[in-house]
Amino acid sequence: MRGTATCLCLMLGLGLGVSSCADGITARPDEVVVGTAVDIEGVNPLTAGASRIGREVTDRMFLRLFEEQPDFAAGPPTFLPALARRWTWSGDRTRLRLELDSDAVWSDGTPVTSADVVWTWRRQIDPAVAWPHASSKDGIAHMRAVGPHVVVVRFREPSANAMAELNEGPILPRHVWSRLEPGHWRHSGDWFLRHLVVSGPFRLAGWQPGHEVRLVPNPRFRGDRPEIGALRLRVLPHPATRLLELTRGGVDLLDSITPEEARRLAKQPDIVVDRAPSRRFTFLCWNLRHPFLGERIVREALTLGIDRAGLTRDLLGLFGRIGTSPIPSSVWAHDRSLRPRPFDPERARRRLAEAGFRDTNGDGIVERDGRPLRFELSTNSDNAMRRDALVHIQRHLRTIGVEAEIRLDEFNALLDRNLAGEFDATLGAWAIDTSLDLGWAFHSDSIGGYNYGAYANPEVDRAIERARRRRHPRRRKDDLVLVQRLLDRDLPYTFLWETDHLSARRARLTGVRAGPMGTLFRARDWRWDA
Amino acid sequence: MGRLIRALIRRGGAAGTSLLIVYWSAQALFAVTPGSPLHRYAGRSFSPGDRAALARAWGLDEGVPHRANGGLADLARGRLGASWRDGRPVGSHLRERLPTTLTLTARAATLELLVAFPLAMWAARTRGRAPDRTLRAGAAILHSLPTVAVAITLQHLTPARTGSWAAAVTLAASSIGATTRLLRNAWVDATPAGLVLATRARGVPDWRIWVVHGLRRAAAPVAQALTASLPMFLSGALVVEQVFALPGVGRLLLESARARDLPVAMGVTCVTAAAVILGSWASEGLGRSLDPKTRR
Repeated sequence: MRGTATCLCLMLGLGLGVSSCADGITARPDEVVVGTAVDIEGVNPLTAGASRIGREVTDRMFLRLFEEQPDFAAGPPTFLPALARRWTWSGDRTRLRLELDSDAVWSDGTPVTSADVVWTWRRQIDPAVAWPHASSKDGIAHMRAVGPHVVVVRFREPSANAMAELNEGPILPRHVWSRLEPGHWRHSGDWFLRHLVVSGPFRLAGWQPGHEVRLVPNPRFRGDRPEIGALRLRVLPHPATRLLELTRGGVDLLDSITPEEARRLAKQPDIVVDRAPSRRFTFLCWNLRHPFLGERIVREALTLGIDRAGLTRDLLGLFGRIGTSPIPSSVWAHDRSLRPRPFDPERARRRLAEAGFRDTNGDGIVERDGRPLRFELSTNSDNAMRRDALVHIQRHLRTIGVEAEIRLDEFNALLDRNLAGEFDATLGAWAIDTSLDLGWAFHSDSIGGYNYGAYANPEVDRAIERARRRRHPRRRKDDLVLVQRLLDRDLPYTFLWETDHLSARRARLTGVRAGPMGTLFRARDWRWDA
Repeated sequence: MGRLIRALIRRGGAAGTSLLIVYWSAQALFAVTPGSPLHRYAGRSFSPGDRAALARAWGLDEGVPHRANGGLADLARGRLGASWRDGRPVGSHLRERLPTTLTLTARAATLELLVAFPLAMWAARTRGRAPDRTLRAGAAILHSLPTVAVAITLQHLTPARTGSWAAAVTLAASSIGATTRLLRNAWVDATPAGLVLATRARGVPDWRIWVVHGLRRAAAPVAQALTASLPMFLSGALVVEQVFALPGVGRLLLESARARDLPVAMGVTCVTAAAVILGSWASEGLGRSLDPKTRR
């Protein structure tokens, strides 16, 4: 008996002893708490993972050369000075002279110099570092420091995206991080944490992986100092938890919320839902290798048979609109003459009949040469809105005699199948960047890559290539409009909808500009109203 | 002494073989899982050269057997490698996340014991009558409740600061049902009506019959069941940590599997497998020490 009692007491004691560890949530009154679904993945921008929030955090800690502005509605985005205070182009736009901010210092007091800029570029293109955006620097032929605060960059050829490509990735501290050989960078996440010096408005005050990240103002930052006392990112993976925490005060800002969440949060008295233009569009990509879907007339019939207006209304309410192009209507180069094809089941049936499809056995599905018009509609299983959309689309297509089977895959598995071209039709979404380079999705060179459906049109290829080289926005727009019209004619994609960028914040928190530039864009301007 | 050493060697060999089987099975499973880790990091702008460089940096250019053998050799030297996502050592990840999961499971086990024991004893004492039937039905319902639904409901009902205790309650909820039923049955078996009557006739007080005699005979199967429920706790922690945003090992496994971060996923798998093997040893040892019959 004594043994039994001892064992039970031991188990209870162990349980209570271990469980007496307290939960440590400490808060400052002037801090802002942002809810995020995923954690950051390190502090080195060249080796940290692909999470958007990770990029945003490193962008608060390290200065870039310029600050890209979210003014893409009127024309190509403009850039404001950041580390580079002034810049001048050569006449042929192949040489750029940058004058750096001579007051900029690292958080250990060392000045930020042109040597940091050149060294960062060398690390960015070093194969041993394997930075995922290294190809963005392909256009740079050479870079050299001509003084402590002057850098000259030589480009291979004039390009409309030269500034954006040069600006990809922040400038890193050469005087500290050059101590580690590039070959060790990918296995030394903790080393960078221990040797973290920053140049941006915030510095890292703490990181509990999987739990929270804490940023506080960098006292050595010479620009506009943040008005808030601290910025805390709480990692809340479950969407229900994120909403609950916002409503009960555990979180002050949530970004990239769904229209359904926005509708629910808008009813809360102390919460404001913000809408911002987005560069995101949702589409159905048809696999042109499919014997039926490879025919334009079939794709047109399917597009006419989907009630996209109803779909958009049901799923997005007032927060979205039907898509017509891979360049959303919020972007300057969008072709405003494009009109979405109407929902017209009768015309869809006629088109299918013209293509030779008839329901010969009376089962409600049309056939040709004895083969029914049946295919798979796939999407990723973790996105409820896409799942719902596929159910709607399946129902719409059934009314025109087409049978679509829904297939839900885990995200990575779906990507694998799409990249291998092993799908019939897939529902996905892209956010286009401000380079407006559509080559990755529609150029024939990208077949086998992100041109999932194997779309090939030499006219589109040429227009995409011309647009890359154009420097004048109007000429570039002409090429991009041509691409959009050809895509509207050929229908390799059926564009479903465009969404607004939605975020929710506590009403007292002002200055937030969450949008396509990120959640934390201009976080130094955030403030609490009295 | 010689028997003890032989037993230890036998046990160690069996544990090592089990771990090896788990390691190779997990490696094989990850190898056939669709979705390359490169997809997540390699965006649309990723050139074939960039892709090859990253594959080389992560050792993806080597074949699966070669990579798995290398990993095993590192493991034998106590090195778990570095995460593909953030380059931090897998050991650091585990050190950061294990305390949360240990705290959670310890709290859940404590709650389980504190609630299941009195309920089971009450049910055993009222065997066949209304309280027993009600408790058994309640335990069955509790056992069948979906963990995620319990988690979300409790999260809404409890203040934010008590989140980790609510998580422990969620984790304990379904096992309380199972343990109550198990303990009640063990108690009923340990205290047949005849024995109770005979012992009472000898003047032994009621509490002593139930607590001392009953518990001694019922404790062994229950202790074994509790330690054997460790894997169940770990799988439950996966859901609970996700909903309550607790940075534990369950979430680490989920995140690393989603990101195809093989080194971290393998590290968590190996540590979990070792914990399960230790749990099973503890269960057996506890059974032997509590039940004299098994010692023979």
